[in-house]
This record gives sequence, structure tokens and C-alpha cells, in this order.
Amino acid sequence: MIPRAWHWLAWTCLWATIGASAQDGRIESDRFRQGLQPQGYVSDWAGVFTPEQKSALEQRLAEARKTTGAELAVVTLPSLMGGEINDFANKLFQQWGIGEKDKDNGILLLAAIADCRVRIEPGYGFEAVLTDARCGRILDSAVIPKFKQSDYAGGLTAGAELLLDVMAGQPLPDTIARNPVPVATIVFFIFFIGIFILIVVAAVRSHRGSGGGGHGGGGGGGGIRHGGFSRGGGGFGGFSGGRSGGGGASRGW
Amino acid sequence: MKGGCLLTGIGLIAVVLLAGLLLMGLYNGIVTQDEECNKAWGNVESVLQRRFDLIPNLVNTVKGYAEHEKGLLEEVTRLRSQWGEARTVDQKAEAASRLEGALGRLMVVVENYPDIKANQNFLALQDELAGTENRINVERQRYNSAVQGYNTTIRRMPAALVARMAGFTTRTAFEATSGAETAPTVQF
Repeated sequence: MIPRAWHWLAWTCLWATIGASAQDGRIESDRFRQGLQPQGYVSDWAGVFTPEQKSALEQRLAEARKTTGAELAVVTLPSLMGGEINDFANKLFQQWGIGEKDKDNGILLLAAIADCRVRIEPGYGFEAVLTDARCGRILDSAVIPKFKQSDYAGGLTAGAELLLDVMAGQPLPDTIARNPVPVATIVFFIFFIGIFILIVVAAVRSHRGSGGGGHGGGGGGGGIRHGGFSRGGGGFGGFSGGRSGGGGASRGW
Repeated sequence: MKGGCLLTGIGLIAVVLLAGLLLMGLYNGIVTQDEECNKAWGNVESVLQRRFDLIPNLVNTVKGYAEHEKGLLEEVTRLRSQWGEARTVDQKAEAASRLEGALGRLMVVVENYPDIKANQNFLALQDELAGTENRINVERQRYNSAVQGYNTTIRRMPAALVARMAGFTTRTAFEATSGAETAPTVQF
């Protein structure tokens, strides 16, 4: 349990500085968020899970990842540090890249305990099956009743189970491909570099006359960007570069 | 001096080619960012369309419970059709902002009608609307940062010359209403 006093302290500090700059809360919250690295599928910074509960849920989520490819991140924070949960959840989603890169089949279940705010945010790939209303219903039926009794681990586990059902039950529509590779540009550049090399080679040859030996020009390598990463094996290997667009639902308790 | 002539010629060609490549690179960079803005605006429009599609359902649901709010409901409907008629990016942004204000007022007013809040259909709509407003906020932020990147590029020096020659002009960001930097979410 996070002491209530901590919450009030943070709140007071926030409002005390708001006169100087209305942006302070957001900046602090942004900085706080940027420092967050996932502990696994479950990241329990608020410390609401017992180690057994945490590893049990972690195992369920890793299994779901293996069988369906979809990724569910369960995150608890003591506070959003003055941030707003919708904004925070969306940016954390982007930062971690929850879900597979081209399917965007990730879900974030985020609870800020002292702020009394909880949110489910689905990736683009889940928006069709996990509508905002459905997210709201999951929160109302499974999560909030337990949260009201301060059973945070129970509420999150129950919510995660329902989300896992959604993840397992529905085939995932592939979202439209984003950012097609500019093949034409690459071809164009290779073409020009090739001509340039030919000119140089020809120049060197003709300058030396017919006696000199030939040169062979090597092609340059191109850089390839990787969006996400995921290692094989049983454990957590990082999220896989999925995106979300601000759908989902939030609740207070 | 046959060799010297040849070398000078090749040198000139190389310089022209390199300059051409450089200009092309700058130009393509601007085009890419311009297209990113267009794509981001496309996403903004699709979430605005989502809001547009939700409104009739919302108005019908609220109408049954809140006869007194007829004026506000009519205003929402009117602003919705205004948005539907808007054509340019600026007109759409303007209409969307006004619609957002009216919708926000409606959702506050609805708090006074406990009967509506007991309606499951309304609760689902409320979630859909809140989610839609948040999506709009997200896509708006992404659009604005794309616009900012594009504007910075075409105003900074080497690219600014190319931009001026090719007729690229700065784009306007889509500002949130009433200066709120967080989503105008529906409160529960």
C-alpha cells in the first residue's frame, strides 16, 4: 500500500509550482515516464503484487505472447507525477512499443494507485475487438470493484484474464502497412553512385593509358532500421514495436 | 594537355552531379516531411469522422431523457453538419474545435440527469465518445509534431532555398480548444 500522505505531498507540490508554470507537472511526468523500462510483461512499480502473484501473471502473459503473438503489459505506478492518465498511457505505449510491429496487437493495462486512475489502452490492431465501451465494461465489472476494496493485485489479475480471453478469442486483423520503404529512392541512389564510380574508374584508366591494371569498385551497404526486438525463448525479451492511437477507457475509484 | 582537359571535365561533371544530389536530397527530405504531415492529417480526419458518426446516436439517446437540453442538442447537430461541410484543413480544424466545445458542454449537462447515467447504451456511448476524444487528441498531437518538423525544415537554411524555389510554404498546427493541453475527456 502506498501511503496516502505521499499522494497529498505530490499533489501539493504540483499545485504549488503550477503558478510558475502550468507545464511543470507535464514535464516532470514526461521525464518520469521516459525513465521507465519494462520489468517484464508485468511491471509493478507500485508494489501491489506479491512475488508469487507477479510471477504467475507474468507466466500467463508470456504464454499468451507465445501462442497468440499478442502482448499485454500490466503496469502499476505509485503516481503519474502530475501527468494525465490518457496521455501517459498512450506515450508509454509508444515508448515501449507494445505488440508486434505490423499487427499492433498490444494492450496496456495501467494503474496509478495514489492517483486512483486506471486505464486500458488497446493497440491499433485490437481496436475492432476491444472497443472503448468494452474496455470500460472490463474495468467496471472486473477491476474497479476489487480496487475499491484495495485489492489491486486481484483487480488487475481479473482484468488481465478478461483481456487474455479477448486476445485468444479473436483473429487479429492485420493493420494497413505504414511507411512503405522508398524503393525508388534507393534504386536511384545506387544508380547514381554506380555512374559516379564508373566515371572515376574510366578517368583513372584513361589517365594511366592502356597499361594500368583494372580496379573493381565495391558497392556500399545500406542501413536498415529495426523497429523493435524480440528474443526467442521463454522469458521476457522486450516488446515488439506495436502502436496505439489513444483508444480504450479510463476509470477512477 | 589532353589528360588535364579530361580531368577538368570529369571534375566539373562530378561537382554538378554532387550538387544535384545534394539539392535532390534536400528536396526529397521536404517532400517526405510534407507527406508525413498529410498522412498525419489523414489520421486526424479519420478520428474526427469517428466522432461525427457517433453524434446522431448520442443525440438520440440523450434526447429521450433530457427534453430541457433541446437547444444544446440542436447546436451539437448543427455544428456536426458544419464540420461535414468544411472542406479545407483550416475550416475543418475550426469546425472541429467548436463541435468539441459543444459536446463537452453536453456531457457536463448530462451529469444532472441520473436516469441517463443508468442507461447501459448511454454508458457505452459515453466510453466511445471519451475514447474518440482521446484519439483525436493523440492524432492531433502527432499531426502537430509532424507540422513542426516540416516547418522547421523548410525554414532552416540549406533547405529553405530549395523550399522557396519549389514553393513549399509553412503549415498551420491544429491547436486544441481553450488552450487545454490534455484531452477534454468526459468525466465520470
